[in-house]
Amino acid sequence: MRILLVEDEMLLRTSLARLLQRAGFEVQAVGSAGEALATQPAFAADLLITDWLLQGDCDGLELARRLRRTTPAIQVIVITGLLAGDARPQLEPEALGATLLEKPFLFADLLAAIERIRA
Amino acid sequence: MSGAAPGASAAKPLRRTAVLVARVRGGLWVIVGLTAAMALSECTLRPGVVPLLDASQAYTIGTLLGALWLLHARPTQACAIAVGLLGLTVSCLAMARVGILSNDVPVQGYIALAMATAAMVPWGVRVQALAITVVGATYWWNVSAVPGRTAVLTSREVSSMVVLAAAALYITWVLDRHSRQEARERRHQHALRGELERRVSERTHALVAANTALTAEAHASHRLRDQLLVISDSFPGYLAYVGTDLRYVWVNQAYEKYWLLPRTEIVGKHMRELHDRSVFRDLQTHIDAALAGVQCTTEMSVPQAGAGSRSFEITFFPHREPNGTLAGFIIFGVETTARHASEARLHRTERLAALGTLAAGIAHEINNPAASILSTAEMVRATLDDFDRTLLDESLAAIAAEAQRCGQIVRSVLRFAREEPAERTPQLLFPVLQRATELLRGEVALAGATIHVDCTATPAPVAIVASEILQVVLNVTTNALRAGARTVTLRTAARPGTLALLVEDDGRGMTEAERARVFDPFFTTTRARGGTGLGLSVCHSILTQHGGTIELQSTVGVGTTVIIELPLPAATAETGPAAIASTGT
Repeated sequence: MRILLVEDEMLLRTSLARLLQRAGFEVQAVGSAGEALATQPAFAADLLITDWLLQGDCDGLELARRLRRTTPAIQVIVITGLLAGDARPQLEPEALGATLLEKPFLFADLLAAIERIRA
Repeated sequence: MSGAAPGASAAKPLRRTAVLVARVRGGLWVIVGLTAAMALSECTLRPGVVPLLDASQAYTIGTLLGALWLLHARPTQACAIAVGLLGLTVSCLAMARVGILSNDVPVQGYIALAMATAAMVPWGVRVQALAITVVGATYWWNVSAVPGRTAVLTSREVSSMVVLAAAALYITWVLDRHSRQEARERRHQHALRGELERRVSERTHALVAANTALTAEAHASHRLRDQLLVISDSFPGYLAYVGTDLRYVWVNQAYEKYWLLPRTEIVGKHMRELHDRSVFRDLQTHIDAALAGVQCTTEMSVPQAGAGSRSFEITFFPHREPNGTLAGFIIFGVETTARHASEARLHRTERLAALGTLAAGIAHEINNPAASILSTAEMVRATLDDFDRTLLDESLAAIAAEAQRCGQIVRSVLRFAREEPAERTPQLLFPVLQRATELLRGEVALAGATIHVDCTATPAPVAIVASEILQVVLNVTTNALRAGARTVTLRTAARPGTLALLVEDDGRGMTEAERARVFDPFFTTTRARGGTGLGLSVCHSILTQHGGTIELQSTVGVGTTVIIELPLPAATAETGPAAIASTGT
């Protein structure tokens, strides 16, 4: 399974990338939506794991929408540090069919989410 | 008369003399009249002399004059005179029948003429006496003039009588001077009394008119007083009028109920008598101010006998007379206990709402490093088997740095929320705006919007509690983002005496009806998305505490501008950093 990881927190990005690689996934880790859009045509990921909030005018959800245009089958896991509540529109990730994972999370939780998507 | 006063008994003889003199004079008039009639009769009866009037002419004239007189005389007087005339005429005719009077002699005519003349003139009584004299003299003369009878009086005797009578009349006239004077005085006094009565009557009329007007006025003022009483009694607040001696002049029903005393017992009491010593001491400053002519308002809490206390907002209005002297003051009190309770409840709710907004911002800030720490730690654990010292060292250093970042975030929040003194300190607005954009980074990114901060125009410090103003900026900006704004500009502008902070957005704007209610607690257009409706009411209360204002200008489809004004300290010579602009996402 090919995973495209988009996270602007460098430490989280590198550690998650290593863990995913060790778990046997092929991972491409980038720090912004622009890089992700540039990487995808060549990489052709099956799963997008993206931070909701990204630098620039394109957030994780928007990125997922754009990738869906070229790769309609791509699965999406959105990770976020935002608290559930009025600051976070709850319905948007669901509308995308994306799985939402709240920071901080255990790697096991991420693996479980990936497994659910695979099944 | 023995009991009469000395003055009265002295006046009596004088009056008696006057009456006597009047009678004597009447008698003398009789003699004068008799003499004149004799002269007349002699002249008409002399042989060869034609009588002045014949009998029928005399009758006619007499009847006409009598009729004229009757038209003018008072009824009773007229009757008496008519009866008298008739009687005299009948007796004259009777005398002529029996031969005492001659039919040839127009005695009756003389009688009628004399009586009528007498009746025509105002001094009637005297002239009547004269007329009777004339009749008598004529009779005597006629008797003597009838052939074969001896004359009773000779013409010399008649002339003497005339002279004597005239002399006597003059003497009595002279003697009567005193009583004439008295009569004049009486007439004068009578006139005076008349004038006096007229004036009294005029004055009475004026007084009656004035009295009527006064009664009407009293009526109107009574009605006004009643209306005032009804209004003040149905008014739920406390109203009293206190004189400069600090005694109650008037109180409304609320006062009666508060003190459980009838109005009549409160009025007249000194304020000190009703109020507790401590309460009165608290009121004293304001009373002094009111007595100095200054209106003032105070909020005070009055401990209750049972438990707790009631709070009142009391205003003292000095009352001045039209000439400027202070007459007293009006006390106007409103109980604020219930309002305070609901304000406290609202304040708690506001604090919770504020906490929620802050918590959301903090959560994002902390969750990110926490996720990094967790993930890195897990990664290190996973790679422990193929031990890589450099990776381990780097990872642990990174974990330490992230943990420190968490600590910094918490500390910075605490600095705003707790460690910072609650009192307002003069400071620049820019750091607060910057902090706000940092905390809002998540939401701004979510909304795909941009925030611009522009403080170039106004580097002046304002006295604020930074955490509270931060809260205001967070709330207002969050609203802008929720209204679909793509760009939010936080801009400061200097205005006379105030520093304005304008938060401009290009969101969907709001209708006039919405705009009118935005500061109402729990009014929200985003309840479905979790809006509490407390944001702007919190802002309003914070700015009111800062002595500032907040208002909104909005156009549907164009955007909204929130204008926040904070008072500038009196002297703002200090200048802050020059230009700081623009920060995105």
